[in-house]
Amino acid sequence: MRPVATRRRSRYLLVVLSLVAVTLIALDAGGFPVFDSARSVASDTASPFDGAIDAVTSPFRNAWNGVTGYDDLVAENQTLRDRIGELESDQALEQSAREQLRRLNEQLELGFVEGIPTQVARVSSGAYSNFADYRVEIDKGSSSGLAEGMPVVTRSGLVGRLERVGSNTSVVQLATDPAFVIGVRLASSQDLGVGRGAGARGTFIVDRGIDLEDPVRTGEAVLTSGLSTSIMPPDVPVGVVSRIDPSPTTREQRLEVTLSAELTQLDVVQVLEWEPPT
Amino acid sequence: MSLESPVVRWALVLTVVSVLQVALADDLSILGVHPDLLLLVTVVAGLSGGPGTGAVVGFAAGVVADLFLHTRFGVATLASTLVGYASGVAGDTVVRPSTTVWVAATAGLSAAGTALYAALAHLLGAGTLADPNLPAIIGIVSVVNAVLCVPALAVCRWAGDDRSAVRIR
Repeated sequence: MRPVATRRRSRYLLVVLSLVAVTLIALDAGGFPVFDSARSVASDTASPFDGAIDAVTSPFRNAWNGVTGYDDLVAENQTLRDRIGELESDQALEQSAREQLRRLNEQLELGFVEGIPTQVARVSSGAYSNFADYRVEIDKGSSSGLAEGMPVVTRSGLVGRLERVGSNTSVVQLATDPAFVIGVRLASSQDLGVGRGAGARGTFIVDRGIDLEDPVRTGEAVLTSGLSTSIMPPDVPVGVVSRIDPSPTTREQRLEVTLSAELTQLDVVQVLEWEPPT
Repeated sequence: MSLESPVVRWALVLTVVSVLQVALADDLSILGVHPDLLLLVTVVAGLSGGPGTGAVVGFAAGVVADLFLHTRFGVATLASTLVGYASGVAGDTVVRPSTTVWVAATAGLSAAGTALYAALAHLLGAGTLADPNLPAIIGIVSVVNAVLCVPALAVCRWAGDDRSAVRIR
């Protein structure tokens, strides 16, 4: 048993350190900018270590992940085999699908990357937390001309937006984050709504602005609205409607949207050099 | 700046562990969950050095963790400080220490630490308690920390210059 004085000193330390921690939380909640800068510096500092240790340990890590992720690999192989089968059986329809896609693109004037300069970036790191935090880190930052708020996309569609930009790395807030809220537009009816990330479900929800009377069908494309105050440029594909839930109480429809971009297997992304209006 | 000073040794340990966490452990996953070496050091520092050491090391490890997490800055610091202190109190209550006791204590305290972080982050809007992987995260982090407890104990005793090394049998 430690002496009484030592125990008293430990309790005093606990109180002081806890109060400091609570103060840090309060300051961060109040938007104190030092924390974002500190995180950017930490990320930039860790980046070379990450690369060096990655290079040295990659055989070991690959072996480890091969062993621990064996079931996933088997499942993934089965999925790929199924997919090849589907593709082979659908080969006859491919031509037709391409034509439909071409027409759809023409109709919607998709080409969302055209006209906006882009920066290609690699996803350098996934989440540091074990908990889903809906963020990934990319290997470009302000030294490449990136700025906070810029949209991040893949060829398939919307990924998210830059939440924090360091000099050589940036953090992307993914579209699945419940705090990610944007204006959207339905492709066929041009109805406007507001959507947000659906969190752990890995989808996107449009739960405001689509009235019960508005015609919506599953498979319909959902794009960014691009209104003057929007944080996204217009016509960036978000996904397709996969489920429709009418809500008689709010007189609105709740749409579940399957994102066009596969966010769980991000490798290379494009950052649109477009800044939202201030 | 000499290794004679426990402060320098703890700083060295935390620096090495932080680099290992960010550059190595975050890429090694079991069922999508990676080891939490900073939590391991916090728990073992408390068990070997007492509540004061646990709280201080936990605070420092928490600040490092907060630099790389996307939750509110300070959440990991608060959780880690409390866990470090609790580990110290738990270590002091052990009457007949043995490797089994330290391993079990490390597993239990790691589980408590992970759950505490999830609860605090959830209170601040991160939704961590609703994470469907929560049981797996708690279970895997505590098992991995238990496995790594013995070498971590040796490192923490060196850093804290703990002369009661005979406590582990």
